[in-house]
Amino acid sequence: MSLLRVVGWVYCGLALGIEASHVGGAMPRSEELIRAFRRVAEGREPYSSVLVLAKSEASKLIEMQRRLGLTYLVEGQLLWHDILRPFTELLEGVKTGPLTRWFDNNLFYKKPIIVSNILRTTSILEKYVFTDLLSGVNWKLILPEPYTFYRLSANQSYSRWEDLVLDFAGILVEELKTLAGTGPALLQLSAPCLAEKKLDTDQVETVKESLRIVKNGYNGLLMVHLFFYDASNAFPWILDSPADVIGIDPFVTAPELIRGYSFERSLAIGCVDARNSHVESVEEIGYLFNSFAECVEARAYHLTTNTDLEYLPRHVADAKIERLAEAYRILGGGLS
Amino acid sequence: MKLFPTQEVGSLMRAPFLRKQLDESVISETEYWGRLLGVERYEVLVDKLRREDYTVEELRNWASLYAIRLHEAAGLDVVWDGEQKRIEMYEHALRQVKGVEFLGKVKVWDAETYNKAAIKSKPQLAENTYVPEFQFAKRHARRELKVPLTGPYTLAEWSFDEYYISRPRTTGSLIERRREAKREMVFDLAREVVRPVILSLVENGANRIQIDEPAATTKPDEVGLFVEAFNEIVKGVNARFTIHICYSDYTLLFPYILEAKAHELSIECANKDAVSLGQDERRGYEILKLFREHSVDFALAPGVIDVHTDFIEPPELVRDRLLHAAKIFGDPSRIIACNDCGLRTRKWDVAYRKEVNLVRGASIARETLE
Repeated sequence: MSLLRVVGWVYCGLALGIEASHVGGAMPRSEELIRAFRRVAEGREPYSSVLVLAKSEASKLIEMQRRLGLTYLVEGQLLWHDILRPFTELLEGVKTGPLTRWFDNNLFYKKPIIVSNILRTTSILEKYVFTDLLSGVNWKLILPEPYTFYRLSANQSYSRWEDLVLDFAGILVEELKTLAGTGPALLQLSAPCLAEKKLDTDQVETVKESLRIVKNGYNGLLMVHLFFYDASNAFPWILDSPADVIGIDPFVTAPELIRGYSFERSLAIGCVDARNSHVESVEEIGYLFNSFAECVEARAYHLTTNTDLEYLPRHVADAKIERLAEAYRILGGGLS
Repeated sequence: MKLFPTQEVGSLMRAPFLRKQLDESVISETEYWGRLLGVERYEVLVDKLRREDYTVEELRNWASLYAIRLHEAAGLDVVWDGEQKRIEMYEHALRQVKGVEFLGKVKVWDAETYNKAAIKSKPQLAENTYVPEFQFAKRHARRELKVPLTGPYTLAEWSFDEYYISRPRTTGSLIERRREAKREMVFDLAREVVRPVILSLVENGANRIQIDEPAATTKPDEVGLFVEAFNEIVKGVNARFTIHICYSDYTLLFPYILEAKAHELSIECANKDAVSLGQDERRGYEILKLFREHSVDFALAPGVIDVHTDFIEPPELVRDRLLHAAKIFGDPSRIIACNDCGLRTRKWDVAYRKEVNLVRGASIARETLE
């Protein structure tokens, strides 16, 4: 890597104000944990054995991120089969539907079937998140964005889809309140459906309202992460939403379509590709970061992955996190 | 040609004696299936198992023979060996390729994973187990054979790219450069891996080949690429080609699939269909309207057997599905009776009974129209 270019990026990174770095979603399970889940699925072991192993892995993952100097740490969401599953399984009014392709990936989720108005009758997240590992930690939680949840479900009950979106936003708030003492400092709402295509005015208003509900019921930073699709589809209205941080996927976003926008909050750029095993060099990360950061003028920038790392084998995901942290340090954030 | 010819779609669960634990119950099962399916000299295998005097290669050959006989005993017109000598459709194909490195398990759903590889350099076929596999099957089969191969688009889509994406490219945006990299990857897998296998099989007498492309519609903007790659691998080859695509949104195939130089398209329908009898409305087969509207020139093999349930479709249900499909498609002479997909996840007892009823159902559907 050319020293001159690195020095240039460090200067650029400082000038652009990189204030945080974090992982953009769920982590892959280790092969040992995968095997444990299979044994549970086949009835050969109780679920408690998976809990013990997953907790141990989550603990090591948190420690690794802390050592590397990431700003917000994830516990990996290793117990989640898919990002919707806790809600699919535990919300009243939702049944577990068929395996369905997760966007354009060779990954499948179980479609939530909305059979009656959704109702939260039990605490959900406390069964899926190792909150006891997160006490005193600046941590990040990733949840489905309400409109995306609606789009990925089969609605057989609500006559107005808007009500489902708003009800789900309310449920997220109730859940976040149960985590109050150990709540996340950063909440990422994963929102590919906001970028899949341009939404019409009514849809945008409902999305904004749902984000307002979440924002008003939660004390930390709210991030909306647009990945898998060109983020420009959600521009400029997303800049005007209640989110504190907007995340974009630079591997599918055309920079020329977002060039010239500015906003008073933070832009998270997913410069590490979680869908390919090539571990980016700091140079590649820096180049990509700068080419997007100079397009959109934000108060500050975050350096992250473009999506969940669960598309990778675990050791590759770990290598990517290390490189993300290294790039963050060199670009002027974190421990430096 | 007879109406509603019957065929399988590739995989079958491993033969009982390929399991890890070879106890007396497995040996009894081996004896049972050998007798039921009329496997010649099956007593030799049973004796070898009892004496623990066998090689892995011997067992795989026996498994291949058992699977061929299972399909033949059920009465299928076109058979295969249930992929008894393969690991699975993706890993088996890429294990024979230079320039590929397996990186480890990635999730497909819940606790289901596959061993995912990265393309590290230009892929080249280093080994070809398909020819000896086919030669063995050809020596033993009493019916026509159809060889399944994984298609280049699926091999690329299910792999990481550490080579093409890293090659210097001077022009275009990141999105355009990635698109170009993907295209090169798919075409290299087509030209350097899949096509050489096809040519070697045809040279050895294979005349029916099934190209499995379950990933064909994963990325809607790349369906055209899948078709181009398919045409590349079959270009000028004198054989009957089936494309098999399962559990996909088939509407995304259009209009690209109209350009595919395929003789048959095999799709999954039974999984989406009701199990009640009747020929008037069958939701699993609505998609066939689209194929009719586009006047496709290939034959269609809509699955009439659901491979994800132990429910044994009665012959009358198979009949109704076939007659309904023929009506919707508008040309019974271009409807083939088969499963939704391979029967790899079903026990042999279930798989066998399903195939028997597939053949019976096709027979009564044929009688109805004739």
